[in-house]
Amino acid sequence: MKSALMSDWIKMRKTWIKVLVILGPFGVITLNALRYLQSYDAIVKPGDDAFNWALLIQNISHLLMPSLILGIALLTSLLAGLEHQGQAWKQLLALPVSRVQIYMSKFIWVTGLLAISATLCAVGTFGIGFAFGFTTHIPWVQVLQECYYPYFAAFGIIAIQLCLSLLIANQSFAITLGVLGMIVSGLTNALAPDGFNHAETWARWIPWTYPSLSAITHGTVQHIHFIYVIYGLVVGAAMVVLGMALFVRKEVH
Amino acid sequence: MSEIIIETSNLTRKYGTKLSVNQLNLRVPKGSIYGFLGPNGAGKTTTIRMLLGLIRPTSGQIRIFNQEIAKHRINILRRTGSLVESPSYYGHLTGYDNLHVVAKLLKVPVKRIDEVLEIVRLTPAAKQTVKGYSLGMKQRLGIATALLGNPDLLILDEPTNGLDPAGIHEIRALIKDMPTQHGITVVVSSHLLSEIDQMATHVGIIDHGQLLFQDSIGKLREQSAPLLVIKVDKPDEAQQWLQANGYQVIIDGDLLQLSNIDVETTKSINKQLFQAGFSVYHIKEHRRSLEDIFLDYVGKEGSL
Ligand SMILES: Nc1ncnc2c1ncn2[C@@H]1O[C@H](COP(=O)(O)OP(=O)(O)OP(=O)(O)O)[C@@H](O)[C@H]1O
Ligand SMILES: [Mg+2]
Repeated sequence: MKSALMSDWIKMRKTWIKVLVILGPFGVITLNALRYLQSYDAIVKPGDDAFNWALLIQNISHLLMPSLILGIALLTSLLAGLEHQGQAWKQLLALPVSRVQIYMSKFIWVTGLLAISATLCAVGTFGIGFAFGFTTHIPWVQVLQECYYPYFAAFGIIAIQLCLSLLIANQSFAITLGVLGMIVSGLTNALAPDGFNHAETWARWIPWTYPSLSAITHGTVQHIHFIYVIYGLVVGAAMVVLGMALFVRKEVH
Repeated sequence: MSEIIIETSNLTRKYGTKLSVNQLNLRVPKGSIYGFLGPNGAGKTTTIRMLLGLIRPTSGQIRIFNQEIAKHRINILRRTGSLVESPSYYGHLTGYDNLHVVAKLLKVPVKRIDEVLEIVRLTPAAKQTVKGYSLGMKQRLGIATALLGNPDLLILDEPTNGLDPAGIHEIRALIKDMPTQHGITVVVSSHLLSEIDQMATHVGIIDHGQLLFQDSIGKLREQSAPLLVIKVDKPDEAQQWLQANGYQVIIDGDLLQLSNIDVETTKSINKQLFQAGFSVYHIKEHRRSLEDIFLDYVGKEGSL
């Protein structure tokens, strides 16, 4: 397994993959930082840090959700594209390595790299808060939940996108699905929490809703639903198994 | 009887209803250079994909190193280096890094990368990204990759595709050295007999998915021994007369054909026929090239 992971690490040299991992959270944080710089007086209530943090979490979250979902689609697609481009599959799969390991290596890399993005996002959120002087009521747990719950809730999406990108050479399918997923995720964001009861009936069937439903902040009230993290992990596990089964049987031409 | 490295039994592969490989019984002896010969679309690549476990046979078995590929794929592939048709590569990486990717998976030391680069003369281009390589350079990189794991068996599908004459010559010399210097068995596919003729010890000829000939190259060459072709006034009588005198004669239209002939026999046959009262219009030695024999096997329409 280690050799498959190291081999994939070499493949990622000189690609956009590592840049994207940093660029995603960097974008989310900088856009927010610029907004706070520009309209500090309008958004920040001096002295009410509890409010300031809650609003910051909401602002970060609104950018984080779509970037996460689109980022997953791009990242998996870039990683799979490396194998499709130079017809590398027929060489790779004629090597003495099990296809299960090759598949797992890709999944581990995508989830591992996104963990870095989630961490950067959390660090950046604290960074903005401190930079603008929110020194009391620091919501350590809430910020971490806002960044890591959607990440884990997105495991289903990661597994679905990976399966599609690895099995279908034409990456426009996977990217299209990523864009559609981003839109669906945005809808849940708009619905909740008023339409939350309504969303609960159908949202569990659509993995793209899990990240935003797992930690959604509405009107500075954070709604944490750990069940969507569970859903994400369950769907992720199921889709990895399914994708692997298809990949192992795949004919290589 | 020498050891058999690759053995297939009734290996068959269909695409839809089309039979691309039909009841193939390959036998590749240890230490041989097996030329797998056939025109375009004959089923060479399809067969090789099955040998490497990239696609599954519709029916039939494959045994490599005396192991069933369906059960021991990884074990077999550990001892096999391969190159399948068009080059495989990671274009954004250098030639060296391309080999590094595979070296990690094969768990071979990195110094082996320099060795194989040297073997295919790619050392000067090692630090260049592969998307800037010419087709021939990509092909060399593919051969280097195949050699990386010190294989016991090399399966090369049209390895000289895209190489210039000097490159073809080099790769051919390289392949010829494999069995003697490293004890490697080589299967090399081609649609050119001339190419196979210069390196193979064994030949399998495939067309329309069927194996039409399989034996040592010597056996194929025997079929190219010269024929004596004679045109006489009464061919049927002449045939009988010659057979009565102990010659093997076949009749083809109004021509008589004798095989395994030397100059002395030619002279004496000519003289004897004349003395027996036959009029000899025409007598000549006909030498068939290997190419002719190949074309006989695959049919003229299959030729290039
Ligand atoms: N993926 C595929 N789908 C459908 N038919 C295929 C596929 N691959 C090969 N075939 C068919 O199988 C037959 C054998 O093809 P194959 O590629 O094995 O020939 P080949 O001997 O390697 O020819 P060439 O010298 O041109 O490389 C052809 O008729 C081809 O059309
Ligand atoms: Mg071919």
